[in-house]
Amino acid sequence: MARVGLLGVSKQYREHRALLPTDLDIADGEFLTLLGPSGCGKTTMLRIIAGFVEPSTGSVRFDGEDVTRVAPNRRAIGMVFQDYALFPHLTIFENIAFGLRERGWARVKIHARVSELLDLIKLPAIARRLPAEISGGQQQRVAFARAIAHPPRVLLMDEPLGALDLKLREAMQFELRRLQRALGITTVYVTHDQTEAMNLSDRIAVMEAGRIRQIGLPRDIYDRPTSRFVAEFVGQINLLPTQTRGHAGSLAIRPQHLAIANGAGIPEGHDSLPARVLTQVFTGNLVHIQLQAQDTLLTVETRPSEHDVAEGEAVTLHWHPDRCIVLGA
Amino acid sequence: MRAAGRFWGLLLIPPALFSGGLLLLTQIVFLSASFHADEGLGVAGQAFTWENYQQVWRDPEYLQSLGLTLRLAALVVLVTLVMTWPVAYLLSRTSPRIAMVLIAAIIATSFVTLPIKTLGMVILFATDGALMRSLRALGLADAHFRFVGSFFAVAVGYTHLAISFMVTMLFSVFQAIPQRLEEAATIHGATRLRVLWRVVLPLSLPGTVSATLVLFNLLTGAFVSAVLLGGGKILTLSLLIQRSLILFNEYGMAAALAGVLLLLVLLVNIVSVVAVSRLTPAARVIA
Repeated sequence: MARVGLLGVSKQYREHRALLPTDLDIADGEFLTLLGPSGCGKTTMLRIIAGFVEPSTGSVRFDGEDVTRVAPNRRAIGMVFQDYALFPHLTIFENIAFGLRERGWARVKIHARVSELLDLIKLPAIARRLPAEISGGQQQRVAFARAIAHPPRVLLMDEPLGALDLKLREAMQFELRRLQRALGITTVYVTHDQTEAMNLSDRIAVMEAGRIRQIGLPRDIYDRPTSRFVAEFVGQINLLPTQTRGHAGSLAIRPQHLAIANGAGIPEGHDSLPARVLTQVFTGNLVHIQLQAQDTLLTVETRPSEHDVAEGEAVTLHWHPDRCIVLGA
Repeated sequence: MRAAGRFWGLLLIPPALFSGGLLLLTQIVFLSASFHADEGLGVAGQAFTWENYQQVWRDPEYLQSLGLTLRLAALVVLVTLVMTWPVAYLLSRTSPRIAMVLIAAIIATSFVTLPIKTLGMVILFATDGALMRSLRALGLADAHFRFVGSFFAVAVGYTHLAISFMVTMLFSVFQAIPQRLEEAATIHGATRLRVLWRVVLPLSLPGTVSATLVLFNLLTGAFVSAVLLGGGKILTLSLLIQRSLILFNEYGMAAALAGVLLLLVLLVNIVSVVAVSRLTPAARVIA
C-alpha cells in the first residue's frame, strides 16, 4: 500500500494531447475515481500509473519513490481490466496464482493464499474451472482476486463493472467497496458512470479534455460544482441563463431542489419563476416533470403525492437561493 | 427466422458437394487404381492385388524417396517456423497501419509465379555466377559444389515458398490473442520472456500447430521447386509419382505411391493434433 503522486505528468501523441500537465496526490488507502467521458484522459492517466504508457513529461511516485522509469512488472501493481483479461487457458486457481508464481512464492504458500482469496470473494468451489466456464460476475471477482493476490502497492481498475448488467453492477459496487475498505489498498478507479463514482469513491477527480476539472469529496463535487461541465456531468442539473456583474453566466440548480408552488403560495425568501408543464414521467418512487420557462427547458424531481399537475398547465417554480450554484459561461 | 435459417443452410450444399464430392471421387478413383497391377503401356490388370504396395515396401528407391520427402518437408517446416514465429508475433503487435503495409508486401510477393522465382534462384546460384564465385573465393563454398541438384537447393526453394505463407498464417493466429492478456501478465509480475512463455506460447499453440501442419502437407506434395532445383537428383515422392505416370505409364504404381504418401501425411496430422490437445486445455477452449 502506498501513496501515489503524479508530478506534472502529461502525455502527447503527435498532434493529440491526451493528458495536459497534471499534479495529483492519492493518500495511502484512498479510493480515488477518475470520472469523465471517453477521450478525457482518464485511461491514459491510469496507464501511466501502471507503466504501460510513458509520460511525455513529469514523474510518477509511489511513497515518494520515483517509479517513472520502472517497468510495469516491477511496480507491484494489481489491475482489474474492463474485460477482466483472465487467462483463458489457465484454471481459476492458476489465474489467481499467476502473480504469486511470477514472484517465486513457494507452492504451499501459494495454495494457502489462493484458498484464502477464493473464500474472500465467496467462490471457494471454482478453483479447477476455466474462465469460460464461470459467469461474468464470477469472472469479475476472480480478476479482483488475481489483482490483490500479491498484495499490491496500488490497485488499478479500468471500468471493471462495465460489462455487467445493472443489478449485478450495483451489487458488485458494494462488494468492491467492502473489500477495498477491509484490505485498505490504495485504489485508482476509472469510470464514466457518475453513480458508480459516487457510490464507491473517497474522492472523485472529474476529467475533461485531458485535465482534471475538479477534484474532491463526492458530496462537494455534487453540491458545489465549479464549472458547468462538472455540474452537467455529475448528476442532472437545470441551468438558467443569468447576468453576474455584467458577465453572462448560469444559475445551476438540481431537479430535486426545484418545487412547484401549490395553494399555500411561495415560501418566504424563495426565488420564483413562471413555467409551463410539458410532460411528466413516473419512475416509481419519483416523478420527473419537464417544464418550459421562456426559452429554457427545466426538470423538476418530486415525490409522486406532492404535486398533481396536468400537461400544459401554467405553474410557478420556486427554490431556496442557497440551493443555487452560480457558474461562469 | 426459421425459414431464413433453412435458406442459408441450403447455401452450404453446393460448396459441400463441390469440394467433398471432388475429393471423395478422385480419391476413390486413384485408390482403386492402386490395387491393380500394371501390365505395361498403361494397361491395368483386372484382378485385385496388393502387388503395388508390396513393391513400394520392397524397393529401396521408393523407401528412400519417402524418407527424403518427409525429411525435407519436416526440416523446412521447422526452419520456417523458427524464422517466422517471431516475425509474425511482432507484426501482430505493431501499429495496424504498418502491419497492413507489411502483410500486403508479403502477399504481393506471391504475385510472382513459382517457376519464375525458382528459375531466378537457379541463375543466382549458377556455378560460374558472381554469387558462387565470391562464395568460393571466401572459402564458404566447395569447388565441387553444384547448387542445382543439391538437397540444400531444394530446401532453400521450399523455404522461400513457405516463409510468406507461414507469416500470414501465424499473423492471424497472434492477432486472435488479445493484447490485454499480455498486459495482465506483465502487470502481475511477468517479464517479457515469461509473458511469451506463459501466455503467448500456450495460446498460440493450437493455431501454430495447424499452420505448421498445413505447410507440412503442402510441402510433401510440392513439385515445381523439386523439379527445377533438384535437377533430377533429388527425387521426392511427387517426382517419382510423376515419373511413374508420364515416363512409365504405370498408373497403378503411381496411385500406390500417392496412397502411401496420403496415409503417412494423415498419420502425422492425427498424431500432432492428438498430442497438442493432450498438452494444453487451451486447445479445448480456443480450437
